[in-house]
Amino acid sequence: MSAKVDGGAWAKLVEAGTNRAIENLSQMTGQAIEVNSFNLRSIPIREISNLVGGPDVTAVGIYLTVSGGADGHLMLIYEPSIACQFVDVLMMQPPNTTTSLGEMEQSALGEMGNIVGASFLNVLADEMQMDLRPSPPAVMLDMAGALLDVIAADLMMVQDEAYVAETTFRAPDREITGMFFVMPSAGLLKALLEWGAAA
Amino acid sequence: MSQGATTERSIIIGLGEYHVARDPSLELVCLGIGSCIAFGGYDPVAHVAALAHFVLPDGSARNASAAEARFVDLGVPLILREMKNAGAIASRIIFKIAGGSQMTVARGFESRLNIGERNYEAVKRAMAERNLKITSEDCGGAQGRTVRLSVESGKLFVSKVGGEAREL
Repeated sequence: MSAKVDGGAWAKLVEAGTNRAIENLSQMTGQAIEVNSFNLRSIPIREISNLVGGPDVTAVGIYLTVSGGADGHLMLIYEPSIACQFVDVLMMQPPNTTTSLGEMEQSALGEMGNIVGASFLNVLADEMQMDLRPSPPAVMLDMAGALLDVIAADLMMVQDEAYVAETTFRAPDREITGMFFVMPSAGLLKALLEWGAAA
Repeated sequence: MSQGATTERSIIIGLGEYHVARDPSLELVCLGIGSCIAFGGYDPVAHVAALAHFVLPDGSARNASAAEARFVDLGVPLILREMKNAGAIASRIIFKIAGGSQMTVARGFESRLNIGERNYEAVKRAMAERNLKITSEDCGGAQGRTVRLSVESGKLFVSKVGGEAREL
């Protein structure tokens, strides 16, 4: 069972960070990418992959960890064909040029992860007066369950449910949509809650 | 005897879950395993099959629940116990494992997130402590796996993205 929750002030902060990240993605790509939906859920960790369509669905994940004052996980998730379209946008190629993800294409997607991760964390770090740093991005193409395993393992050490901030976005003049997951570990969640209570 | 394959029902085993079965119309399935381990056991005489979806190596220090298969060190004895309760005998059980991938091979992830390897080592250790052997395995690498265990035949199949299912 997944429950949408109203996290109050801290949820608004996460949403503001997400909006900034998508804005910067928009500028980087020169495409008018807009946020379609933003949901904050509290969800059993073993069900997170259902948000992507199930654990055996093939997907591209661009994964960054958060470190510094608190830990967390960020992941951009696309259908493989959508990831290829994003590569075309990032590399300023005509649509449908990219059909597979080699080293160059993965590097382009990694750069996208850098922009989104850094923009998102900057908003949080500024507001919370906290040191929050993104790791270098890992770009993976595999079953969604496998992509999310490392995150699940980290979270399941201490908890059964996790907050997942799930954002979908799209570029209106191209058929590209994607998801951006923010999953705070216990420490970052605590920091967010404390910030929210004081805000 | 020929109707088995067509009437198979799948039991999906999620993170930290397990299932022990004797019903030959079932197949036990772990979908999209990355750093986790799919731990399969089959007693070919008693026709008892089990599949567990281990997530983490070590739960003994965490006061964890002993009734789930989240942790390898608690999960292995749990599966053995449950299989025995269903009629299996430990010395007859054929054990097969798959998973334990290192999904994130990017710079900066190596030391922090080697959960796949730690899970694999934990399974090896838990088995060695009980003088039990793993008959076959498909572990490590940087790829996800889906694992299916037929209760009727005891055959365990592993598939990866872009590949055919392969019997282990």
